[in-house]
Amino acid sequence: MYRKEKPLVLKSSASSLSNNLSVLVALEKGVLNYAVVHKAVVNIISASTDGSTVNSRNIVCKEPSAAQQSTPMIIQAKWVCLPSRTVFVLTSLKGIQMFESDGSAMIYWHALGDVNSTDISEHANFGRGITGIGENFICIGTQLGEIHVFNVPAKGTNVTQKESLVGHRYPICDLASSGNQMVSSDEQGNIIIWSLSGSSFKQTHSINGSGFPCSTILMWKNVIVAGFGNGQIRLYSAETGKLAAQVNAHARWVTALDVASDNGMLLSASEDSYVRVWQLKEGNQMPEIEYVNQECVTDQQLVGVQFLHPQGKAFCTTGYDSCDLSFYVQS
Amino acid sequence: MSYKTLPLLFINLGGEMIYILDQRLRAQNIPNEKSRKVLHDIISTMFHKRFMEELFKPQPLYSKKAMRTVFDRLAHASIMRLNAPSMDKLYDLMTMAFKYQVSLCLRPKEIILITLNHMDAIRAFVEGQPNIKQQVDHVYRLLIQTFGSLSNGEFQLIRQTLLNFFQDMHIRVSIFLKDKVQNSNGRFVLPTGGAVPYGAEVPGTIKLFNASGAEVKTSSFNPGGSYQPPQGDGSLDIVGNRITTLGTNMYMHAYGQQYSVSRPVETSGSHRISKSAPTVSDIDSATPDPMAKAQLDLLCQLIGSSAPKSEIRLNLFKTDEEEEQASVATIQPVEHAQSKVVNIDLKKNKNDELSRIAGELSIQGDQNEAEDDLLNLMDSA
Repeated sequence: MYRKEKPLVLKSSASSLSNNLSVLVALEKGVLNYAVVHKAVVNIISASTDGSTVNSRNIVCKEPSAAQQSTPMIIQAKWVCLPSRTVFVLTSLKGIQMFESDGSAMIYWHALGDVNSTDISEHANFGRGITGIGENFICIGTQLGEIHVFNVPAKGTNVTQKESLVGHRYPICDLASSGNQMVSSDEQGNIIIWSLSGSSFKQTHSINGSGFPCSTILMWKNVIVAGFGNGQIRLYSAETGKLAAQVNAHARWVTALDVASDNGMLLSASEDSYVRVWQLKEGNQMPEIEYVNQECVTDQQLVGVQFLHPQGKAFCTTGYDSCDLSFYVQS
Repeated sequence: MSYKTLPLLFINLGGEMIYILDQRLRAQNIPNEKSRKVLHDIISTMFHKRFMEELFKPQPLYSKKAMRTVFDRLAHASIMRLNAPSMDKLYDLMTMAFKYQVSLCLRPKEIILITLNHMDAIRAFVEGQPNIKQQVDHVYRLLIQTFGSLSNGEFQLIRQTLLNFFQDMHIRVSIFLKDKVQNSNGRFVLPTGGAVPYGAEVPGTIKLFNASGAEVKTSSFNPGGSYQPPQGDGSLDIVGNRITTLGTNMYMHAYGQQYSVSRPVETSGSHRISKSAPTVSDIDSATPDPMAKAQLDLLCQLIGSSAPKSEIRLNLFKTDEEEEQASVATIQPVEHAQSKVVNIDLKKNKNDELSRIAGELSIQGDQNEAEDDLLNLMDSA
């Protein structure tokens, strides 16, 4: 079903994190952009769709006003496509940084915890979980369980923090959104569904976890897909929060999920070396999932996976300690 | 990352070091009494109460350079001496072994079980030494106290922090290559099959539910590998079954059997891959963390600067000639221009508390006879 293509080579290896691959498809420019975190650096590759031109560059995470000398480790890097602009967001141990989509200029930074404090507990608050919602909101989760909501203007650097959503009592793992709904997950596997109306957020449903982190989560139409540290994938109805499906999907941590927006094909990547391909269906009453296919990237603990095509015709994946961006194309 | 990682890194690397030194001491036919003394001195220094308590404080991991310095010092905390190439070899073996264990563990919580496996072996090494045993028991308690009730999420963060430390290290280790757990490119073999982690289920089933919560359909798929249900949850008690064999002494033929015929610490064929230009990710070693420096100073004071009268020279290679060739051939790691060397100064001590601690210690001098000088180092193998 898929055949393996020649990989692109990153300047440095992928770090062991969840959701460690972000892709920005700029089809009108004929360019695909890939971002992979390596310790305190994000490696970005921009490749033309015919593969002829490949550019690499990187963004180094520097703490703008550090009193501490240790290097901030990047936890997550992701392109967020808002209606008016695309922003590149980076979260680290120390804070949150936002850049123009090509990474050229920083437009905002926000410290989490007190960077000037020498008390470890004060500056142990990393950011994790990034999603855009509505016209101009970017939401980012934290180790303390809050979700910071930022208001991003259509142009320029006047980003402001609107509020902090409280609901989780454990470190946030991931955030996702679809339409005016947002979903958040934490290290105990708890999931909260939020609804945005106008400019205010409201919790609509809360799903209890069972102790395994929900390391990756996404939304597609009325379906919530959640990947867990015990290798399971679960589907929930976004309307009711009810459990629709439980898949014993992988033999290790599920580190990343992605969905093809046009047809609901789903990818899951795991530290068990497998990318599995599934088919989501909205179903009559409840969402459904079917197994389609799998690819094994030998000897790699996979940490990121993304479709490159809205109908799932191609995808790529990253693995810890590997400089390869592995590509698979439908045959 | 996780600020609780340092003691785990230190104890596991230290444990591997003890395994390797034990094997080499026996391979070089060092008399039992001397071997025991070497290991006891090192273990006793490693587990010094005040040093351990410093280590267990929340802090970022030491830089790679600082970590290497710690073990350089520790390896010389006894009458044993190692030449530079042997020390390099020792450190490479230690780090790749622990990297292997962290990479292969079934779930992040296993890291504490791996640590306890190392602790169990260390405790067995110090049977009959009540003072050192007391130190070791104290560390058991510190471990269980600090890590006993951490969540899966916190352990995953610890695992990610450790993997971050070991990232891009691909030194080939002969014992791993021989056992086919490492490829010739230095990457570990990750088996697709075997027991799944405790708390997980064998992959391959899909269950669908209706709106009332009833299961309405089950389907299955072939997960590629041959997976089995999980084994039990390992014990976190001071004495208990850890279930996993990761962290036990791989230099023994049969795990759990002490003093049986041991497997050679193969030293030929391992290549040190030097770093070329310093990469941006090495910035972390650029400025020594003051907390790390203070702890290193403490460690040096614990070890003391007294030159022992007699020494055992340990060789991690098969022959002296091989060791010498290695010292010539080994490409020394490039000193990063922007990195400041962590200077361990035994004389100046700005920290009164540390001086007080150091003053409390007494380091026994060695009363060995002359015949112990420069033992025959040719490997009998």
